[in-house]
Amino acid sequence: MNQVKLNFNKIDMKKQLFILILIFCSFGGFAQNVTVSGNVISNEQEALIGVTVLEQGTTNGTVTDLDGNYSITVSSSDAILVYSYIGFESQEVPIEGRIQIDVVLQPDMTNLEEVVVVGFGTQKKENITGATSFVKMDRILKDRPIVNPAQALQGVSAGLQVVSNSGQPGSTGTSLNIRGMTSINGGAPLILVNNVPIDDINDINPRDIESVSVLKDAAASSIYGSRAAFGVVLITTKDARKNQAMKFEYSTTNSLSQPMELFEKATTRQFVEALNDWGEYDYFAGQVVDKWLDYLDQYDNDPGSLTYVKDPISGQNYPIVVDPSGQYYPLDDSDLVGDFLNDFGFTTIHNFTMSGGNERIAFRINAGYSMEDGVMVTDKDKYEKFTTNALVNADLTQRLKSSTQINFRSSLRSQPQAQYNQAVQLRMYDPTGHIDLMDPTGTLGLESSNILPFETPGNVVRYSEPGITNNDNLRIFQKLEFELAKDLILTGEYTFEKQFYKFSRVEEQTGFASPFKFVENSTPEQRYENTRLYRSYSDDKYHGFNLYAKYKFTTGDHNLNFLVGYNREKKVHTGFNVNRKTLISVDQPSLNLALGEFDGGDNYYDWAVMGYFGRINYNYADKYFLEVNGRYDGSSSFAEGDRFVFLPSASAGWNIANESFLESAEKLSLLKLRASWGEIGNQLVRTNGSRDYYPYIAGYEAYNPYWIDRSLNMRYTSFNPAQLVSGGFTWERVQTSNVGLDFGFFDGRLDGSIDLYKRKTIGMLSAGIQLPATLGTEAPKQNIADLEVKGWELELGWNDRVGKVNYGINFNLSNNSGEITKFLNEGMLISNYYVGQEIGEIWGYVTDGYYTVDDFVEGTLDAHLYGPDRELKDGVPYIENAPTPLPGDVKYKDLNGDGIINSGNNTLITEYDEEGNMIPHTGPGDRKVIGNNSRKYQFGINGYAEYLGFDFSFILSGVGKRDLNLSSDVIWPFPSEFDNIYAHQLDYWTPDNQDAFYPRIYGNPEGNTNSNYGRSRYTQTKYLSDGSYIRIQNITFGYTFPVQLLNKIGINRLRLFLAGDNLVTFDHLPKGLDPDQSANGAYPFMRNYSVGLNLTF
Amino acid sequence: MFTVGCNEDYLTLAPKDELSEATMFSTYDNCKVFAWGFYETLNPYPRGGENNKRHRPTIQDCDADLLENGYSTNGESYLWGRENIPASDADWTEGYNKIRRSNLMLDNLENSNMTDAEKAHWRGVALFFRSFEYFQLLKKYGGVPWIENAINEQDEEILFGPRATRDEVAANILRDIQFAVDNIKEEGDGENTINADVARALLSRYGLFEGTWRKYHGLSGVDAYLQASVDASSVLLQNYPNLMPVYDHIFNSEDLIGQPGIILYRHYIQDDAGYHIRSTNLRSTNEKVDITRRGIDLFLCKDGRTIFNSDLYQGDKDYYAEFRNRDTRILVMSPPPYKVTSSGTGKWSPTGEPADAEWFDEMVRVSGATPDQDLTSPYKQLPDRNWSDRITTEVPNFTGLSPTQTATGYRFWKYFSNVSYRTSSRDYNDGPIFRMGEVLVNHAEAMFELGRFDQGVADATINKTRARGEVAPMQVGEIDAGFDPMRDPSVDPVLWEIRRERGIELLGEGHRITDLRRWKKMDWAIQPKLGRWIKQSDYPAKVIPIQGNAAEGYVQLVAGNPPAFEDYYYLYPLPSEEIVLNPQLEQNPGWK
Repeated sequence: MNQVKLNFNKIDMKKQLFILILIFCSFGGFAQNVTVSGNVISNEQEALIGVTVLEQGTTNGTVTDLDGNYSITVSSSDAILVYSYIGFESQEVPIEGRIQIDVVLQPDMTNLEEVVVVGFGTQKKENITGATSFVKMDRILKDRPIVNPAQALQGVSAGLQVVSNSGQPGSTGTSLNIRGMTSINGGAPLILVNNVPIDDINDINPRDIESVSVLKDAAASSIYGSRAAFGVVLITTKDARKNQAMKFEYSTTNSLSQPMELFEKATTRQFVEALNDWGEYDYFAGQVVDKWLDYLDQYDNDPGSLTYVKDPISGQNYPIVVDPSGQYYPLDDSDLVGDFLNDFGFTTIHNFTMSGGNERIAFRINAGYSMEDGVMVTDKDKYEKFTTNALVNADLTQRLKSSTQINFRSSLRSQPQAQYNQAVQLRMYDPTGHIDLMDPTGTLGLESSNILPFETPGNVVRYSEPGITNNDNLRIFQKLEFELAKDLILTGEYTFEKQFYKFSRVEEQTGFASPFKFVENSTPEQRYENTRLYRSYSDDKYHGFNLYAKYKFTTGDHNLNFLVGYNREKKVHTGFNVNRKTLISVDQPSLNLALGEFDGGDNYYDWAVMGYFGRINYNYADKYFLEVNGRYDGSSSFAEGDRFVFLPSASAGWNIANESFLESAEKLSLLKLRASWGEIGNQLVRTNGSRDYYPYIAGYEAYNPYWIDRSLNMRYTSFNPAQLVSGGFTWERVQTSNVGLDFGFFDGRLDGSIDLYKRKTIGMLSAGIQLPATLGTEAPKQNIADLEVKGWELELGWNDRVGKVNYGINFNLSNNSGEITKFLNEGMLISNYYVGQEIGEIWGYVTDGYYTVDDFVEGTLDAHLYGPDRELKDGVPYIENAPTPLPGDVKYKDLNGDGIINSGNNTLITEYDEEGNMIPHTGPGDRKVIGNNSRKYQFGINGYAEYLGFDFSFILSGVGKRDLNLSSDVIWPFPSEFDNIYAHQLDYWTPDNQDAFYPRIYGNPEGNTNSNYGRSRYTQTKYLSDGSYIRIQNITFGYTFPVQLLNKIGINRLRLFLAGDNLVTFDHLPKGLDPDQSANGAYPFMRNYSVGLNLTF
Repeated sequence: MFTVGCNEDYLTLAPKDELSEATMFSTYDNCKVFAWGFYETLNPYPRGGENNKRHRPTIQDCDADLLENGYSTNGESYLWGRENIPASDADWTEGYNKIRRSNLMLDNLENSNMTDAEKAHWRGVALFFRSFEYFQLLKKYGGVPWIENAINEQDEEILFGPRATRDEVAANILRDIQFAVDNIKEEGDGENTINADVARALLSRYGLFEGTWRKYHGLSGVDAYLQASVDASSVLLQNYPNLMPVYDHIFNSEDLIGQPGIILYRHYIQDDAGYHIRSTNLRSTNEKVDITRRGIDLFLCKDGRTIFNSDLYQGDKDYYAEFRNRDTRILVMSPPPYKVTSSGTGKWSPTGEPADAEWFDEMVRVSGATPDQDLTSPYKQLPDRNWSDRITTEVPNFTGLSPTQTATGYRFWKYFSNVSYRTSSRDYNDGPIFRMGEVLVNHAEAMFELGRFDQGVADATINKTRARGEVAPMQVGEIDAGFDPMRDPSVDPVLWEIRRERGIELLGEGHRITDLRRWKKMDWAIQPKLGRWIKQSDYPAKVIPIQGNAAEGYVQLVAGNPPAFEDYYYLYPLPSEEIVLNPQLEQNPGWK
């Protein structure tokens, strides 16, 4: 008989008692005839420890040992064994004379008993009354090649929006938002790891995360107070469990990546022909368009007759000819992007975990390493991260427990000085490679030569040093739990965090030749003088302290939980940067080894918050629930006297399914109505877009004006006047009301929830009133603006087993819209917020096709549909104060009927005189709201299926509706003479193609910036982009080897997998543009193909 | 660590790198530090907002008669009556922001620990900069709200008050500059800082502006302003007896420190965002500005006579001949004709045809450049080059290298500097802010308007600037109605000549549009802008618009005649949002 070890943590008291009896019985040893032994494993081929094995109908039983083995002696060979284990479905197996029975337990698809993490504690999921979503990380992360945990959360929870803006290794541009517009001053969800706020979610190794709770309404998040106004993302890391044998796990994911999509430029010939169509005689780089077309023909028909520019390194000719005047004429496309993003990127992730525990101490130590090598040529585009996470839980005495966690993250980001947008912006024919500037065609045979690489993104990466960012973040967490009396536990938590940031970059001033002007960009002397070393350092210290007591009280069906606590946090940031020019040797970059003047500065800020909180939680017979929270918070952002705020919240629930009148409804396992209301404070104040740490202190800040001190030949130092500060401003208050319904049918196989909510942000800090500019500065901020966001969320899941197939599919959908309900904008200027404004609205004109010949007085246009004396027919609307339009220019609808297109006086209010006639230049003119750029109907779908050792899963996410008003050259062909033309832009208006998608384009710069084409590009209905999309985020196939096979070689579990990430995005935007990257030229998102394994031994 | 309490100290934090208002102005040196922030407004070669007209004096002058935007096919909206009332206007907003900056210093000086003289000095400096801003506002809009002290949101009477009258604003500016002249230290606060002479230079400019505006727009009180200008200029004439000998060096030198006749300049450096891109713009497609026929015809022949009656003039039909015997400043303004051959690498060689190289030696003589292919000196030499030093093989350049192309035939290249050889987009030649060239023509004009212009004044002013162009001195007595047959007959012949010299000396510096407005002579600018005399047959590759669609004639870029210039256009419209916010603020008449 094995020594039995049990994990009591997750088993309720009744069961514990029951098991103890079982154990006693098994020790007692009944004299029986049949002994059956065997092994119990999970569907994931993992040995299950502590599975209860019971002879049906008796109290005879045992539990499995550390390796999942058991042995039981039963009364007869006809007996039936019942295997049960929390979280798994029980199985009944008739012995039928066998003495060896191995069992695979299947997970319980109904999660009703699931215990989830909420603020300062845990709760049965069934009993929660706030608006909360839960995510089991293992299920959604699987083995995705994700280094930043935030990205793994995309599309997994209704109401949680995760947006990345770059696919570059180490990119930190991933933002989280819960339930839409937060405040005009911004605000993001608070991210906590094991109860403690964390600034950079990147510090956490995704593999260390056990689960994520998203607390969406005030009732759920208010216990975290001050910084939790806009929801909480509560991350719980994997725990250490006692009474575990030493276990080693190793997992790895290795993937190849490539850009999801790239821009497709027009061909050189299409480009030149377009210039010709637009009447451009001379291209800005010097080419004469007629001549260029001739060369293109010659190149097509008789390429041997031309002399080409030669690459002196490769010996290859470029398809570029030089005319007798020295002008270069490129004739064919080059592969600029291919030369730059020349291969697959590579990501490798390794994680090694040791865990184990005895009766009093448990530990889990993880070491993770990840390395992403981006798609840029060379390995300079790279992100490496090393994380360790050590957790030790110990029962110091019977009543005193300790938990210690140490996280360390060290990362290195290498960022080349070339950016993807440069490859996008260069013309389709710009050469890559090298040139001999003394002898470009290679025909002179000169001995002395000046060979330089072209300044293309590929070469810039190859020949210059990347910027290097190091982050070393250390986080130490200590928790002590002391049981003062029965059911009264006092907990103290202290977190210390130190973030150390270091940046270094050498501007080498490598010699390059311009790829379109074919000259050396600088002289060697200038390059030497302008080499520069940049260094910056910063250091952040954070102290977080929580002290709270919990008391549990039960009498009959009345269950009461009390919580009171105190919290305080402080952060101090210091940093400095310095740079120095003219390095003696770029290979030995040092500030000491440079000749120029030192230049630099330092920066400092700190902030602190403190608060008291309490919660009473009441539950009657698991039917009626009531929770009341209160918090009294103070922030250093406000002046003494305005610092503290009291924030109450309450929620209630009614689980109708537990009522006796519904007991007969067997299909119904959960039907819970929830309602909550709560208020939280927002202390985030922004000035000029960035956080202002001391908004109530009118300080003069130093800066360097552009005036040179002649004694030093450097800029002077001066000070900017302080902003106006009005007394008495304080927290913004965020009130959320929420009603929800949780339901479960068919034993919980179908479950889901619906939430309706309203969130008011009241007293948003804003310039008290829009004041005349004669004030000379911004009006002081006051708590005067209100915002209201309304929305709903739906989560649905179906989890079931058919035969040996486990499968499930989960769906979430959410929508919200925000409106400004209070704002001081008496003039109703559209350029500012105004009451009734829907967040995200886009003002614009309504497109009414193009002007056509029919709009003009006959005979005033020439054969090219041009003419200086052109004249519109009476009644045809025209843009005020503009040159007379031409056929092919965009015509706008005359919404206010005055015959003239204009923007009114940029206000909402159109004025009328006594006779009811519109007063000109009032109101919005001919504009109206033509769209909305908020993400509407965001959704996520994930699913999985498991059969024997095989598993499959997928994640989709998307946006149902969104308008984008984009104006880059990817949307508009040739908005300026320096811009490009893309393959999708060739359908432009010409006299022979009047039905085109794009309007008439003019060749000369004025025509495209100041003139008709500029006016054709006003924000308007026709050229709004559809920003909706569906993205296949992940598909994974895995296979887990049978445990019986592995046991022989000492392995407990082995799983191999194949996965694809970001496989495809279905959207409506031009090729190369992702709906989440509204600017063109952002580093493209990567499609990844991964293989890897998980190994436990 | 476990102390629990409502500890307010824990939440009382303060920034460690900011100053309070009290300390900012407590001492002379602190005031000086604050004052450096005033200087940014003085920017002859602004870099911000490259496509924004308000930052580009040369482009502003395209709204007047002597320059034309070579990209223009529709004409300037100001000249064609197509100006929109802007919703907001940075000139207005930034103007008042800077006025507030001055007012903060003015309001706090009394409480400081300085001597009265020191206080007066800083009061003067603050008033100098405040006046500079009010002058810009007055110039653009006429009377504007007068903000005498730093105000806050509670000063509603001021904030929502009406515009001050032009009389009030103008008188206040005069008062304040006068105070600056009288109280700012003669030596300022070191090299190239505001001193009494800089204040005098502003007064010279301002007095002339307001005096003549009042005169030609029918307002009273002319003489006080003109007299203030004359008084200020007279002192400067004594303090700065000499001019920089070479005209090109004023605009294109690496350093203007210690140069004669330079009262205040902006020093630019290559690093630390302290550079500009004036020359780069001029040599790239960012800018394509040409001198009009009217502008070119302004330049006298070396005998001091106009092209209409000088024997030296060789006509405008022959490219090479047109610039011969003219005021040599014409070469600094527009590249003279030449031809060279070039492989496109920045190197060039002569064509071998001597006529093609006629102007090479003369050009370097006039500009003071050291002739060589690598441009070791920053000053102008032929051939013209683009921003990357690609060679323009032919001038006039209608169809060649496009960044240095001309639309009308006379490319404006006054600000061509080679100080930043090949590091394009980082020019760091210094820019003059106040210089004697302007003070001299201010003085001449103000003296004439006061009826005190004579040969002595001409010799002390105009004949000094003319000498730099190697033009014979003005003989006041010789100037009669026939001196320039093309003269606007409503202008006195002598005044016409004074204004001619002003037009030449200050060409492209942003003064011309203001001059035409104060003289109420925008009529000059709505005549068709013409260019060089060309034959279309010489340019088979490109249709160049010629006046009247003729085969041969003067280039005319914008077809047709602008409409008559409306009187109300002399003042610009106030931004409409400001009127919405403050109903007491009245729009300038005529704008709706």
